[in-house]
Amino acid sequence: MPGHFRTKLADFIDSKIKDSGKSITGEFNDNTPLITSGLLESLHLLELALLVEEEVRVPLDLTTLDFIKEWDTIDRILNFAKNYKP
Amino acid sequence: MTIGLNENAEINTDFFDNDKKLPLVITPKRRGLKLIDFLKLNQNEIEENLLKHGGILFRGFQIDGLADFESLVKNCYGDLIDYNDRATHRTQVEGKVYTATNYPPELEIILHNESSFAAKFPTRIFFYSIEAAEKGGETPIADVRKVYEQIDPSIRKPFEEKGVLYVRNLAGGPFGFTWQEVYQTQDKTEMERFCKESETDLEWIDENKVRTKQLRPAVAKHPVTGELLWLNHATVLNVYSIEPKLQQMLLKFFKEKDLPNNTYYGDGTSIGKDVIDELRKAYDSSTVAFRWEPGDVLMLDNMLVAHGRKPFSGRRKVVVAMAKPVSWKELNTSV
Repeated sequence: MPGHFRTKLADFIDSKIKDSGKSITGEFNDNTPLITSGLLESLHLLELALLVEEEVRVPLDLTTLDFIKEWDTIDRILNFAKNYKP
Repeated sequence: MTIGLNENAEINTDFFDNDKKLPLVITPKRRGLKLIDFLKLNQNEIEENLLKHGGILFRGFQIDGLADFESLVKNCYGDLIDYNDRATHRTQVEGKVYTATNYPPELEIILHNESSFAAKFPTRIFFYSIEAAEKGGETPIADVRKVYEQIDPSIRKPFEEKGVLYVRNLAGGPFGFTWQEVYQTQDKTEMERFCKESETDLEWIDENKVRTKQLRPAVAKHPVTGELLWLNHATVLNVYSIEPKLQQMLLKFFKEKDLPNNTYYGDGTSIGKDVIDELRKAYDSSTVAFRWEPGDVLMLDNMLVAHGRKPFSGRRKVVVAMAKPVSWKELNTSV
């Protein structure tokens, strides 16, 4: 997985957290919960889906996606993108 | 202007919007007048004014916390209603008092009459502002007698003839609800029984995902005044009412039939964007939005007046209590 996607993800998440005026307690890293902690909301997840789709280059089916299991941390999103098979 | 309250030495009355005569604003002349006591002593006059104007804002009265708020609603209208057949995320904060909505603050909730898609819904709804947002967060309201009149008869007609079909996909995840959240039970049999009783059709997609369909009238006559009301969720739950960026993304990632919420004419045919735009204009032309102040209580006849929520920033805490339910079966829905 190219490092640029990780950077892109981190920048996206950082900007969404800043826009919504939320703050992170403790260190922010690739295993920081994003959905279960409430840092990302539904609108953000759709925007994130556009970003992931751009990376995997195939249309995503969000109706079958378990967001918490597969997208709750940067690490999980990177794994999802790396292993995604439509 | 008001019925029976002009001679009351303890209060002042006015309208927030003098043209729309909504809401009636009642303020006490002295500090420390308890709202619960005022309502007990003036219940008939309050009820008459509510039926005339649709909404009353009580500002500057003393309310001693959530339990007091719950008691004052109970004193007026008996037992409060549980929030079942949910359409928004709410947190129970005291007895049967809930946060008004946990919907993301940056998004607007457009006008609707509480739970009008359900088989049974409250005819009285009370909002209590505990903490007002720094910016935005108003609860816009509109008299749906006027909304009805504002809608072109050619647009109203198919709704009046066919009703509204509400389709929801309860699949959980970040874009919708699970059936357990909507029906407030973990028991599938109990949920299926509730849906049967409330004339909600179920189509199980898999073990945990279900599509619900509810066919309801779009209009009703008020049970007391007999006035015609535009009484439905056709606009607020329609995909074309969603904020454009979110709408575009939802339609990109979901097939129309899989959208968390959507509305159709009662025969299942699509409601066009142009129609939804016209309905929104009708609401807009009748809408009044006032800034909340801490301690405000807004009392609405939920059949006469629709409500929404403006986006906001900062902290905001508005809670809600609902009472005096009515079922669609009890109402006259012929035009």
